[in-house]
Amino acid sequence: VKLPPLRKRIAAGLADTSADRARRVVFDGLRPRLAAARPRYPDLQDRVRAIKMEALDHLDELVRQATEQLERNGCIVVTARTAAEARKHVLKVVSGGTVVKSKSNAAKEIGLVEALEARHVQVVETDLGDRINQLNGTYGGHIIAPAIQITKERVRELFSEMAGEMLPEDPEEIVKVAREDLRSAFATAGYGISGGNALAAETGTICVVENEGNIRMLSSLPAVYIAIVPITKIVRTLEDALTVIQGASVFGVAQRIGTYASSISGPAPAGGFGPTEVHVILVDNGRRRAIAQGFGEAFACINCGSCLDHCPVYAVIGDKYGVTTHVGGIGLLQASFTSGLGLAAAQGLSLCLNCRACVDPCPVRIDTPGMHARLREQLPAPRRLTPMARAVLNLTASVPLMRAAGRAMHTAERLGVRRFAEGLLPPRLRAIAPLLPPMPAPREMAPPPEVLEPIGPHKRTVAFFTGCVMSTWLAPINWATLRVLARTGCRIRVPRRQGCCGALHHHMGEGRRARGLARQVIDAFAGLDDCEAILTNSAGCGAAMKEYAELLHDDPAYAERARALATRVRDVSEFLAARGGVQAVTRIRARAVYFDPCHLAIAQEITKEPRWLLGRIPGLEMVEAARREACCGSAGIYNLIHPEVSGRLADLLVEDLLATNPDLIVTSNPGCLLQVRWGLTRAGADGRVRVVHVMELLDRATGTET
Amino acid sequence: VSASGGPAGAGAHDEVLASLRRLRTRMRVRARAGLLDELTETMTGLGFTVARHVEGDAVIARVLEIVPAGAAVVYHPCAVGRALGLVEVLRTNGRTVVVLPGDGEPSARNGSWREPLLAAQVGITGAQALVADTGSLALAEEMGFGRAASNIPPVHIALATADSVVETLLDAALMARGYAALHLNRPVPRYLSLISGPSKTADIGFTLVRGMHGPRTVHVLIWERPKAEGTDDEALRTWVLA
Repeated sequence: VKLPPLRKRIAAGLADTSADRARRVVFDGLRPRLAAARPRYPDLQDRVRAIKMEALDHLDELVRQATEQLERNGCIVVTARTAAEARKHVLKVVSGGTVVKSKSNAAKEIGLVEALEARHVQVVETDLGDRINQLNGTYGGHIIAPAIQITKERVRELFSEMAGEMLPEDPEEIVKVAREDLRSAFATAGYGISGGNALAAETGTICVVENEGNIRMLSSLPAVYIAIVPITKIVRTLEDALTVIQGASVFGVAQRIGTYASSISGPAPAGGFGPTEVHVILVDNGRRRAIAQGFGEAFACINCGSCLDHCPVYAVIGDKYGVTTHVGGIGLLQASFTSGLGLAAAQGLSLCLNCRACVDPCPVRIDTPGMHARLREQLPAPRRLTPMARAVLNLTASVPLMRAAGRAMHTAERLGVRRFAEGLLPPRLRAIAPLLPPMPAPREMAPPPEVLEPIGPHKRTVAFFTGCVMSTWLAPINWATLRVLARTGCRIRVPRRQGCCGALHHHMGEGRRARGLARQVIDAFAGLDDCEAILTNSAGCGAAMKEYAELLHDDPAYAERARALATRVRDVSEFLAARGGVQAVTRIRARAVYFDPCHLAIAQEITKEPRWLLGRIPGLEMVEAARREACCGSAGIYNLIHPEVSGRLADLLVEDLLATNPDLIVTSNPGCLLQVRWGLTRAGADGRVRVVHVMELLDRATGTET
Repeated sequence: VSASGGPAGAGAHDEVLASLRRLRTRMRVRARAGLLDELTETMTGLGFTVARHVEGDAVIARVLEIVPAGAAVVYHPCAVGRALGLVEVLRTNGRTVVVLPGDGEPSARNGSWREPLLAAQVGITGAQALVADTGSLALAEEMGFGRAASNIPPVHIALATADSVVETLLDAALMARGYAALHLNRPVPRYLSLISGPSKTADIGFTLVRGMHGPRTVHVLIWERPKAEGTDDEALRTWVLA
């Protein structure tokens, strides 16, 4: 696969407003339907995941059984270790003439169409979306909706050109022309080629699902039918295969089942109607290696495309997230094994935000963000991190260093040098300079006392995690949080030498450093047995600390302690809401919009608590924004690495928030807070609205009027 | 219907039945009150045209209404069609009917089937099961003519009986396994088609358009006949519902 450099592809993706418009039409229509389709099948996700994971665990056995049964049914079966082998097998069967082909990610992966065309075989794409791309000279831009980025105006042009006359705008008329055109191809082609959604090993049954009927055509009219099926599509039984297909239908297209689910167990019998030859090409192409290296889950994917429909990065750059054969975050993971880690690393293994917006909408609940973090860890350090990213990670790993930098910047601000210095930066850095907050006074950045006594009667004792940015550059938020807690009767312990939680490092593939920081946190909070919880006001830190058990699971000295600590971590809003809230005495007359940090809403499933707390502030009018994307684009240090993508996400968020006409924008994570301020600056709206942390508002509301 | 042939071979017949028996202990297809209404609603929502009739004559009248005079029809033999003598009625009323081979029903006709299939305006098939949850019709077969008749002509008519309604897709899979075990001596039918609406695409600007490659119109005619009268596939239902 040859592609332009990533920076160029991202720029092209961001600049393509037509594709953006076309994608948005689909998202607006599909997302609400997907959400509405799920509740009917509460256990479907668990069942699909269990089926797929069990199949991966017994892959060799299932490949053997599937091969035996397919052969018993009269199919010709080969297993291809590589893409080249797979192509070779197909070319042995197809020597010329016409192939009618359905949408197949496996065929794309092995470069089948190019190989056939090089042998002068005519390949006719019969899925309408793929046909549109074929006429347009483009690759499919989505796992199941390949024409998602092509507007209906462009489709009309393409088919008008083919028909030799200007067709009406009406999609109905265009479909009629496409149907007639492809009918003749079905009737005359010698070969039909499809992928396979699932393969039932027990009975040797190929299962395919579709809405158009083209797979039914190409698997019954031509004399030869070829199914290209990755080995990881094999499941145990027909029932398992149908469950997988239902999972893809409900989660991918909001249908209870695709319009046509066909189960094919062999060529047509004598006197029957259908292909006389059925070839099944089982494709490994790196899958067994992925399983051996602990990344098998990437191939538990059932290609429903739901992850793309929920991914903020895909939303803004489309198929430029991924490579031509594999789209999106899951695609890059797969391509790391089918095409090599080098390609994936060069083409955006750094693009996943870790917002986890893709995980729950996935019918297999695949942990794509987690695998990205682990895979990044396997890259050699220079490929993993840019020099600036390395510098920032070094800085955040040391709170004293952050504090020193904060003091220096504070002095620079007072002397008016900061603005001047920013002016000297190269444009790309200057663009992100507004992300740095104005620095608090040095005394605010000083560490809090080790114990803070409650204001009023003592009700409970808690421990407080101070964080890296929160304890220095955003220290006023920490002080506000401590005051709120003290006013609700908390004695607060603030252990020394806590350091940074390591979330940024973990996500950037700096696993060793992340684990080191996690151990430091665990040590710092050891022995605070009188504390009922460890509180944080940073959604990112909370999410990371709640996952320490996973991070340190193979560290014998810390695994148990990590688990114990993780169960005690609470977001401060979660804690306050569970303990009856706060006594809000001071009126705040303002219209406020709260927006969810993905690390709080998705990773910790905390959405109601901050809203409930804010709702108790007298005078505060709360409004809700209709957000298009789940993540603001801050994502640790993502905004420093991919400022263009991040900036677009900030712009979208700010547009969505400003649409509610607020006086205040409220959130509960430092990164999101700085990001939305940056977005406001970009929109030229920074003077209009204030951006605050939930705890800052609660501090004002629970304090006496000043 | 012949019970011979199939790749399982004579010796494996017991094995097939045994595996089916094991399956039946895990899952039980249950008829439930209200299932037919749910099915009708779901199927209608998917774009099927559903009609329910108690009298066999009404089913025939409906078929004649749908199939234009002089139209070419491909007919895949099925229980309801047989019970109602549908082919004769259609022919008497001026429709051209090509009877496709069914499972265990070889045809005396010689030559290719492609031309009549590609030329037909209407394809008529049966359905072994109707799935209430998903609004699907299940077509299990050995020979493959049912797939063709339900996909190539622009109009598809599926004839089913009310007692073939099951709750879920997996129930339909069990019916298909039962059909294969009883009639084909195989663990599963060679072809199982689950059809859930007319052919469709949303690839042009996310606008739903019907009739992309398969039929644009699908009629499901459900015969709510009095129990144990008419069709000849009682063995399957008795066995699965036992």
